[in-house]
Amino acid sequence: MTSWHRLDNAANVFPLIAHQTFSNVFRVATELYEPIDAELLQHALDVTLPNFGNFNFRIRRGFFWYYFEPTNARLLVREETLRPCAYIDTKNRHHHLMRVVYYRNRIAVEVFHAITDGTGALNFIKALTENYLRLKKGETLPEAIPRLKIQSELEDSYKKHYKKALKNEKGALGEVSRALRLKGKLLPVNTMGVIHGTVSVDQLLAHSRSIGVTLTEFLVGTYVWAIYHTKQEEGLIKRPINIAVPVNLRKFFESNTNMNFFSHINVTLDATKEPVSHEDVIAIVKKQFREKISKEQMLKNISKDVALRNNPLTRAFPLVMKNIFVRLAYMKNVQAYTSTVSNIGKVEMPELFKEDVKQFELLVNVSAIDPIKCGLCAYENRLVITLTSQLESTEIQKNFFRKLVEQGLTVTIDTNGAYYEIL
Amino acid sequence: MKYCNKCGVHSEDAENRCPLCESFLLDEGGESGPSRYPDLELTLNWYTVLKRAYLFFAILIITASIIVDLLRGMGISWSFLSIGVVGYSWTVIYHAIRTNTHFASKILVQAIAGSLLIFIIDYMSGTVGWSVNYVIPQILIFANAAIFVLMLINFMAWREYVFYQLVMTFIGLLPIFLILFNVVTRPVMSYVSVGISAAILVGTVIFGDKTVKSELIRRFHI
Repeated sequence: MTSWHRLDNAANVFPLIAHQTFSNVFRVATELYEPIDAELLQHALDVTLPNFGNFNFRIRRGFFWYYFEPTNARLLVREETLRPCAYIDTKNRHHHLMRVVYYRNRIAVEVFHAITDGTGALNFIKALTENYLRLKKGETLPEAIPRLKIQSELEDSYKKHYKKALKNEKGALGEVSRALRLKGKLLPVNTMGVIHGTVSVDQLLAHSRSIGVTLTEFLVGTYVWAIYHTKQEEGLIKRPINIAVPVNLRKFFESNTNMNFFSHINVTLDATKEPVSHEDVIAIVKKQFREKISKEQMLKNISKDVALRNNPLTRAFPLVMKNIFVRLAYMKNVQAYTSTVSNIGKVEMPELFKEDVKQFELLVNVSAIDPIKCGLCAYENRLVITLTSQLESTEIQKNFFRKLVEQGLTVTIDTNGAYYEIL
Repeated sequence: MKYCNKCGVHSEDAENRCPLCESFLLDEGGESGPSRYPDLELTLNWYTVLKRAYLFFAILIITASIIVDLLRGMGISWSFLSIGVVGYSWTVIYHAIRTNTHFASKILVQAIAGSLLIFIIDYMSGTVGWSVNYVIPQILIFANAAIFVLMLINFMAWREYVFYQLVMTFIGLLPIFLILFNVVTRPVMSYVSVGISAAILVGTVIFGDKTVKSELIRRFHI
């Protein structure tokens, strides 16, 4: 008998708000030095997938909640033809909630956020790339490995770690006020602007240390400043700039899960009254990072969420009505944030394959109401900063990268070509 | 590689304009590789076109019938018929053709929507009778039998049918209330529908045992 699985606490909000134009899909990708061999990649996928239970899930509707069931369909790798992070149809009953695409030297894994978070997706693409490179080097892999069922990788870590007593405590998010919203002329539907900026990790680390901040604090600060500077020139700083920064909870709590286990903090810059400089912004961001990211704060965040999920009233509503409430809550929540910066950290590959891999990238999906986001991922000495955007204007991206250059960093950019059509 | 004098960034793109500031780039030598991203296939989505055409004709038909009703001066009556037909066709286009839900779910939804449409037609033509006496019980019998047969044919994946089969048998039992409240005047077909539904329901529960239980647990977990 096939098993079924409850959605974890974060996942519950994702299927409810997925839509053709708002996909809730993110991409992790790896760029190799040689073109991808589709057949070997397929073979590697066939071998890798059974070991990642949650990547085999499809989503089903119950009367009160959605739930997962494994699918028996074979997932096929495809050459990339769609825009990055395109919609994954959750209503299709055979679908995996992910896709694996390749283009030239790149392998990309795109997942629906309900089944995993950045860390889980990274674990998957690392395993996939390793298996692919093994095959490429002439090793033979067993045709089919029996499905391993590792419960700890499928656990709902939110549920395991939350503290009921903390459910009414204000977490790191506290009261989040309405934020400055980014608006402007949009790129055509079905396209998304992608600008990758590559910088040296060593150079960036040296620079951040010299001004007494961490790499993430420096980049988030500069990103906040770029938004601030762009909007200030337009005279539009009427509300605070709020940036959501996801935090990987595996750092704070014992967890081996491949499903979602993250929370986030709100980095806020209120410059509505007086102008601020780049140094000011960095200092403000640094202070908030150090205040807000702590085990206690995160525990308060998740306890509040789990308590809401477990509330008898929440449970009793049929799914149809839950969908309406979540949509309303989402529309309100979206007003509270200006943008998102997601850092999935530094990727390590085994010594044997280090030379074959050029870089890893993270692409966060955007939509008309959430038009620009930033994804960070480092591998060896290359940090790829990916700015995904639905806006036609590249003003924020320009100010961001120019600031990095001004700080003495060497930046190399490349794009997905979406902007050239309109130049 | 190319270089933008204004932005101070290097570009690996093949184009000679800076994507950030649109100024022309300086060539730094070395070859720019091909783009790392494919050209997008922006194909016209047939479903979007169909949806728009449908909406257009739906509005046209409903408005026209309301106007005709008003001109006849006998209140809005026949419009309900056209609204029913438009609504039913939508379930056919959206649910039966467009979505990739389970086949049994399509049969279930079509049985319910079809029954409603038949009832509206019957009611609007003034004499409630033939729909509840004959047609609706027959639709329910057919839908129940269809899901049952499909479940047998597709025996390896029969678990997927269980939920829809159960819901369908419950609906198949409903004519008993129509008999009790004297809506049905010729009850033969209704008795057949109730009998067949009850038999399939009992059979599914007895043979299904754990599968049925597990399916109900996952569908109704809170």
